[in-house]
Amino acid sequence: MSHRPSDDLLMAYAAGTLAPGPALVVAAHLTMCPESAERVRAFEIFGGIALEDASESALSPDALEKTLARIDSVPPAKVAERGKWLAELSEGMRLPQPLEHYDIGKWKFLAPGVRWSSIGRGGSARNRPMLLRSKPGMVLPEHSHAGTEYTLILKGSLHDADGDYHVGDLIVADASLEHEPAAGPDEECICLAVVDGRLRMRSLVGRLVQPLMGF
Amino acid sequence: VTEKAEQSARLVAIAQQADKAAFAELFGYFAPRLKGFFMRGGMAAGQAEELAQETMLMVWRKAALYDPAKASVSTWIFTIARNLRVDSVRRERYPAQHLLEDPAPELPASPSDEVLRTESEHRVRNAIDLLSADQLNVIRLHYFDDKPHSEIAKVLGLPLGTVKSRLRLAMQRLRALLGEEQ
Ligand SMILES: [Zn+2]
Ligand SMILES: [Zn+2]
Repeated sequence: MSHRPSDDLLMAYAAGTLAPGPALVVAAHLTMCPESAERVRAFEIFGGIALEDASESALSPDALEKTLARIDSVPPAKVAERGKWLAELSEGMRLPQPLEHYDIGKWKFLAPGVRWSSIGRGGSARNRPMLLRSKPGMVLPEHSHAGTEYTLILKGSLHDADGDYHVGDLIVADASLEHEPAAGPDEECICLAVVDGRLRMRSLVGRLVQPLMGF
Repeated sequence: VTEKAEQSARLVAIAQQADKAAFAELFGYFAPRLKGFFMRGGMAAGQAEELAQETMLMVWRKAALYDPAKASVSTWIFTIARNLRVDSVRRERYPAQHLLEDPAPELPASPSDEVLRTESEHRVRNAIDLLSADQLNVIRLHYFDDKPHSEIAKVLGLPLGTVKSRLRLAMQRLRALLGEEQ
């Protein structure tokens, strides 16, 4: 079974109202899931229709002239720089294209067998996306969320009481969920995760680790 | 020639011949709608006008990335407007770039692929057309104008519960019309 995000989430993404952290996780998911990508395209068409149907609001009389004047003076579009690749990934592994423009920090200790690394610089540290990397069979500290947690599996698999998740799956865990996901036994697991709101560590190691993560 | 095909041809003329007359035509149609669209989303008139011009400037600069087989001009311009709106609020690049980046080197699409893809925008438009005006409106208000349920209730003069169930039913209907892919 595949774990696809809800239409509600994909519509918010297509409309541009999803917060930047979750939007990045969704963007990465879309490169791995044609069904979700198709759905987002449909919702963007909805956006196109909303634009066609928007009531016209007159611009100042010289608006076209002003815009034409700027056409001649603008420098060509900047090509976004590629992020620095501080975190070495497994041999041959490539991150999904939307992550390529972000700086990736060093791998840091989170729990035995589990390391994490932050992505990007913008926004508040607490909502910044991170990469989690877990050795085979290792358990992420038990935690609950004060906000929604979005986790995209980039490599390997993840398992919790609710199910098994594989490459490309996007897990949306709401605030009521308290879980202790574990990586599959055969392969390391790398995922992209972001929490919209605070993460609450429950276990002792979690509570020790929490201040290190800046939550 | 339909209006859609005409708009498409104009955008291609901008990309290939830097055609300013074609740009003026697109500007005449889209700029006032963009301004209206931004104002619906709660933006003040001055800023909405500024952003409408900014969007049209981007249309000019990115015209070469437009692929008529992938999207209509409205859909393509909508994605530019959406990203600029997010950027103006958050100062962070919105990660939804798939219609706005150089296509990854892939095999050239066969003509039948292209037919399939334009057909798919057609099919989606037909599906959306089948929503009722109320359903269309509540989806627009909530997602595209970013209005919370409580504000929609106030705007429409409806109880909060009615707004929530109308939105839920509208999304269910849309999902059914688009076809569940499972
Ligand atoms: Zn599954
Ligand atoms: Zn969690």
